Amino acid sequence: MNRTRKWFALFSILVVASLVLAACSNGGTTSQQPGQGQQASGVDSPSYLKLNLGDEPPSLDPQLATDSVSFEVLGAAYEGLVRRDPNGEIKQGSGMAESWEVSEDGLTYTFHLRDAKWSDGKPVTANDFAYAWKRAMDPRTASQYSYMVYRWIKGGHEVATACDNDGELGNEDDACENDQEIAKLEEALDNVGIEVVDEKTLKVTVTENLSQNQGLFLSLLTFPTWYPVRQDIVEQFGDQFASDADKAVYNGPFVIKEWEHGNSLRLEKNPNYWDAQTVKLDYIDFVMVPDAAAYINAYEAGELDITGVPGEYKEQFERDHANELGTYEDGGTFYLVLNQTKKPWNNPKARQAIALAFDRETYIQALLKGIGIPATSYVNPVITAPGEEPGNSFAKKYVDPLKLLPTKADPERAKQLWQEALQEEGLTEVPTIEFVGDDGDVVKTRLEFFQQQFKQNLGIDLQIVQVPFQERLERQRTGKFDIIFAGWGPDYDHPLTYLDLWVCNGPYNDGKYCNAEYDRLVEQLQNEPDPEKQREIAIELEKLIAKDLPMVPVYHRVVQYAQRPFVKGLVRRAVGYSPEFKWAYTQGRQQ
Amino acid sequence: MRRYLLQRLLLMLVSIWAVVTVTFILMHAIPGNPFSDPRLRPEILVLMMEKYGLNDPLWEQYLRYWNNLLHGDLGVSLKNIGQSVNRMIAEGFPESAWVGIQALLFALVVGLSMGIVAALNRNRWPDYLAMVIAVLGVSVPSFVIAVFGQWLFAVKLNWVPVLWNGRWETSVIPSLALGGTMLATLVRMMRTQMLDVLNQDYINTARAKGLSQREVVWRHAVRNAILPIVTLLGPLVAGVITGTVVIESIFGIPGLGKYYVESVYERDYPLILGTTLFYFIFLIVANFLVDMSYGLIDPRIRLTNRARG
Repeated sequence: MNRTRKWFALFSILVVASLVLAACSNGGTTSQQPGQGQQASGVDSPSYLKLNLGDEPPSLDPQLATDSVSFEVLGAAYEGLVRRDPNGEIKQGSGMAESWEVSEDGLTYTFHLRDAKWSDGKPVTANDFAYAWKRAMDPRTASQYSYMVYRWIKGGHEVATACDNDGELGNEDDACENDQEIAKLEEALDNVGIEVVDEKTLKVTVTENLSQNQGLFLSLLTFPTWYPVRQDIVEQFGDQFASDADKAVYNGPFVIKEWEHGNSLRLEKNPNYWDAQTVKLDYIDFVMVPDAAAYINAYEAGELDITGVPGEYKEQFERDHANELGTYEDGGTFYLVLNQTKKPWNNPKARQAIALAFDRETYIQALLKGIGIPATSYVNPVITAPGEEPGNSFAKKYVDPLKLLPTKADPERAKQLWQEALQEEGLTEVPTIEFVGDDGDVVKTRLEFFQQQFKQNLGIDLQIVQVPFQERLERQRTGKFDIIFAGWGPDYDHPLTYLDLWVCNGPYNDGKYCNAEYDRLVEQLQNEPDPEKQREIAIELEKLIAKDLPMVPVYHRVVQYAQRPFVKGLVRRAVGYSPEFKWAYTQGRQQ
Repeated sequence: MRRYLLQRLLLMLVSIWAVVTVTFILMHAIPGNPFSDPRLRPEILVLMMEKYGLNDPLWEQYLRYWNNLLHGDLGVSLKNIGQSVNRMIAEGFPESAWVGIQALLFALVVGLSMGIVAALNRNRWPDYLAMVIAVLGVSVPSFVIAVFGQWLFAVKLNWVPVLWNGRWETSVIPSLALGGTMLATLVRMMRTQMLDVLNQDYINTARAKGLSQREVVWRHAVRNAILPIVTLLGPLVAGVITGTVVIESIFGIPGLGKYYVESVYERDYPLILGTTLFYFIFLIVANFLVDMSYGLIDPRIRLTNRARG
C-alpha cells in the first residue's frame, strides 16, 4: 500500500517537475535576444516583428494566390512595377519601374525598369513581368484572379476565351484540350498587348475603358496577381513552384527564408532589394494560430507584437492595453442578398421594406461591440473618389451627405412597402422566408438579429437555415435561398470594384438583380475617361442602388487590433495586401 | 497462428478497400466543391475542376485514385497548392504523434496508478481525490484545460512559451491537456475493474494462501483488471497519436489533426481520402497489436480463430 502511494506521489512530482524543467529550458518567452540594443537612429538592432498569420498561406505563387493571408506575405516578398508609398500614393520610381510614359490616347504604357535584382542575384527583366501576366491569363494556369489581368489588357479576352468553343465562358468545354485549341491560345498569347521591347522596357496596351484612367491601371499593378515571376524558376519547379521557401526567388523588400507548413514562416530582409537601405526590419517571424484564445494569450505573453482583438476581448483590452488598441477599415462591405428570382423579392418595394426593417446602428452596437460603420450607402468608404488623392473617400465626401439609407429602422414605412409589394405580386400570405447562413454561434447570433428585427419591424418570420460554409456558397451560387448574408472587399481603388457586381450577368450577382439602367450606367462608368464624370456616374449608381436595392447594405467592416508601442511605421491598407512592412521597424523593444 | 495472421491481413485489405470506396462516395455526395472562394468566377471554376480532373465521371476519378494509391501516391491537396498529401501526412504525423504519445503515457501511468490507488483505498481520501479528478477530467473539455493551462503556465507563470516552437517544452501543456480526458476515463475504468477483481474469490484464495499484498495486487488483481482497458487502447492510441484538431489549433501545432477536420470542411478530396485512409490503417494496426498483446497479458487467450477444446 505504501509503495503504491509513493508511486503515485512520484508521478505527481514528475508531472510538476516536467513543467518546471520546461520553464528553465525555455529561456523566458519575454527574454531579450543577445546583443539587442538600439542603433544611433533609434531603430532596434536587431529589429524584428513577431506576428500571427492566422493560418497557413494556401499558396505563395503570385498568380495563384487569392486570399489575404497569402497576400500579406507576397506583398513583402515581391514588388510589382509600382508600389504605394505610406500615404497610399503611387509615384514614379516607387517599384520595379523607374519611370513610365503613357501614349497620348492613354492606351499604351511604356515602363522602364530599374536595375533591380532577384534574391538570387539575377536581374529583374521586362520578360519576368510579361511571362507572369501571360501566365495569369493562360486558362491552363487556372488562376482564380486571371480576370484581374485579362479584362484590362488589350487582347486579354481573346486569351481567356481561346479554348472556349461555344462563346460562353463557364462551360465544361472551356479547357484547352486539343492541339488546335492550344495553337489558338498560343496565338492569342502572342498577340496580347504585352511587349518586351528590351530587357528593361515593357510596353503594355490596355483596353479602351482604361484609356483615361491611369490611376485605376496603376492601382491594379499593386495587386499580387501582377507581380513578376521568373520563367526559369517556375519551369524548374513545375507544380511545386513556390510551395516551399526555397522553391521561388523574390524581388521584394523581404525573402521567405523558412516556411514550416502549418506552423511558422520567416521573412528576412532581402539584401538584393533595390531599396534595401529603406528596409529597417531584419526579419519577421509569423506563426499560424487560428484560435482567438491562443493568439490573445500569445500577445499577453509577449510572443506576438500585434494581434487582432475579437469583440469578446474588447473590454479586456480596453482595460489592460488601452494605449495599444487601434482600428482600421479593411474595405469589407456586408449586405443582404435577396433572391430576386422569387416572389416577392423581384419587387423593389419588398427589397426597400427589408432595407428599412432593421436598425443598422443597433447591429453595430449589439453584434460588433460598436466596431463597424453602418452602411448608409454601398461603396466602402476606403475607396478614393475618382480623380482625387488617396484619403479623399468617395463615400464620405460625395455619397454620405445624400443620406441615401437610414441608420435607424423605419417600421411604419417598411410595413407599408411590404404590404404594397405583396399586393402587387398577388400574394395573399407571406411565403416561407429562408435566411441561409454559415453554421457556428457567431453567425447564429447575426441571423437571429435579423429574425428578431424583421419580426418586430415588419411582422414577418424568418426561417433560419445554418449550413456549412461550402454548402452556403453553393446555395448562394445556385439560388437556393431567399435571403443570404454576404460581403465584398475591393480588388482595386475605384468604386467600380463594388459597383460592377450587380450587372445582369455579373458572376457574383447571386440575387440575380437585373436592371438595364444599372447595366447602362456601369458600362458608362467603365468607359468614361473623365474622372469627374466617373464620380457623377458612380453617384448616380449609388442613388439607383438605394432605390432599387440589388442587395441591402448592412455595414462596412472595421478591424480592431492591438499593437505594442515599439512597433513603428507599419502601414495598413484596405486594397491589395496589408499590412505593408517595407517601412516598419521597432524602437525600444527591450523597455 | 499463421492462418490467423493471414486472415487478419486479408480482412484488413478488404476493410481498406471498403473505407476508401465509402469515403469516396460520401465525400462526393456532400454539397459544395473544393474551390469555394466566394470570389471565384464560374468560368475559372470550370478550369480548376478540369485541371484537377473533377469534371471526369466519378468512376474514372475512382479508378484513377486507386491507380495512384497503388503507386503510393495520395495525390495533391486542392487547397494548399503544390503540397502533396503524402508530404502533409509525413510532416504532420510526427508532430501529432509526439504530443499524442506523451499524452498517452501521462494518462496511462498516472491514470492507471490513480485507479489502482483509489480502489485499494476505497472510500478514503485518495479514492475521493481520484474521483474528483476523474469527474473533472471527464466533464471539463480538453480545450478548456488547454486554454487554462496555457494562460496559467505560459502567460501568468511564464514557465513555458504559449505557442508551439518544435521544442519539447512547448509540448508539455498540450500533452497534459490532451491526456487529461483520457486520464479521467482510465482512472474510473481502472478503479471499477480493480474493485471488481478484488472481490473475486481467487483474490481471497491468494490471500488465504499467504501471498503478500504486493503479490496479490500486482500478480493477480492488476493483471486481470487491466485486460478490458487494453481493449480500449487500440482506438485510444489511434485517436491521440493522429492528432486532435482542438489542441493543435490552440497551440499552433502543425499536426495531422487539423487536416482531418479542415479537409472535410474545405472539400479537399485528396486530403479527405488520404487522412481517412491513414487514420484507418493506424487504427486497424493498433487494434491488431492490442489483440496480439492479449495473449501476453492473459495466457488463457490464444490467437486462433477457434477456441481450443
